[in-house]
Amino acid sequence: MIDARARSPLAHRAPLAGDDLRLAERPFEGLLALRGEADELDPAFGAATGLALPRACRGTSRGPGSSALWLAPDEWLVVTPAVEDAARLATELALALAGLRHQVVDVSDYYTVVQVSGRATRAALAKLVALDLHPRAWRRDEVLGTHLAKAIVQIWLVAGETDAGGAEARVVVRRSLADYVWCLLAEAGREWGLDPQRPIGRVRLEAV
Amino acid sequence: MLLVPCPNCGERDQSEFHYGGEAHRTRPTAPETLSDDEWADYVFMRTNTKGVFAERWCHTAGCRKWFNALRDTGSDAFLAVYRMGEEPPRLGGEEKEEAPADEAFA
Repeated sequence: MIDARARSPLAHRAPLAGDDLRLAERPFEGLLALRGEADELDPAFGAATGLALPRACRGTSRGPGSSALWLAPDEWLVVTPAVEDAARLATELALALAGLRHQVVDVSDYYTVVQVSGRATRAALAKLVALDLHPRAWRRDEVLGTHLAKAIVQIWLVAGETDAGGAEARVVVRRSLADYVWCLLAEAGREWGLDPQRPIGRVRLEAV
Repeated sequence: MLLVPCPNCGERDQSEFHYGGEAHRTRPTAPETLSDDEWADYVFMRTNTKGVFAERWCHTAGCRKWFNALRDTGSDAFLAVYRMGEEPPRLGGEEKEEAPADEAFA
């Protein structure tokens, strides 16, 4: 159960919807940081979660419940739909990986996830990212570690344009920068009718 | 826009990286025995090469790993990247040539 007093980092922001672009928070997703040697951890990790550890940059592996995102050659982010799943999975992984050199930390409280969806998903994100986001360069299930202006983020394309619900990307961002990133994305989405947002922090938005 | 070739992530924009200065500088094993001049030399003095230069980079906004690179400081071209702790690879051919302007300061 989520503590009734828990407040997500973007609880003060209502979802935004415009033409071809929508912005919403996915509060209380469960996130685990896993570190170790890929070859060493893969069999035990696979047995515990049913997922293979992604080995290359941009790699992800998706299961019915949780997914694993590549962050670095020895570091992954395991995403589960709910916080309580992360706590349970952390315990299971601690047992499964016992004896292997590794680290599992429940980092659900450190981050939040912003969902960007709609036909303009790539176009809106491309205003903020220095990487190529064209469908031939950034495919479904690829995660990009980069920065949106001053905020370091992971951008994960969970659905492409050809999928039933249309394109959807998820932006994993530190809690303290969540409002900043929200306002940046809203600013980038003004072209598609998103309402401008006033940042609550002291970090000013850079010209987008 | 300078593209930096990260050994883990491929070519990425320079804005994702943090520059770590000259590579292969080893800390003196017994710093307490050094004179002020020797310590100042270790702390402050760098070679300031014009030409092929070995330096450290960190992919701060990506995989957050440090790596070494050989860069031509005259043309900003990255000639090679290699892991921390490794010796710089030998470069063949014309890239190895020193810029002639260096002689003026000799």
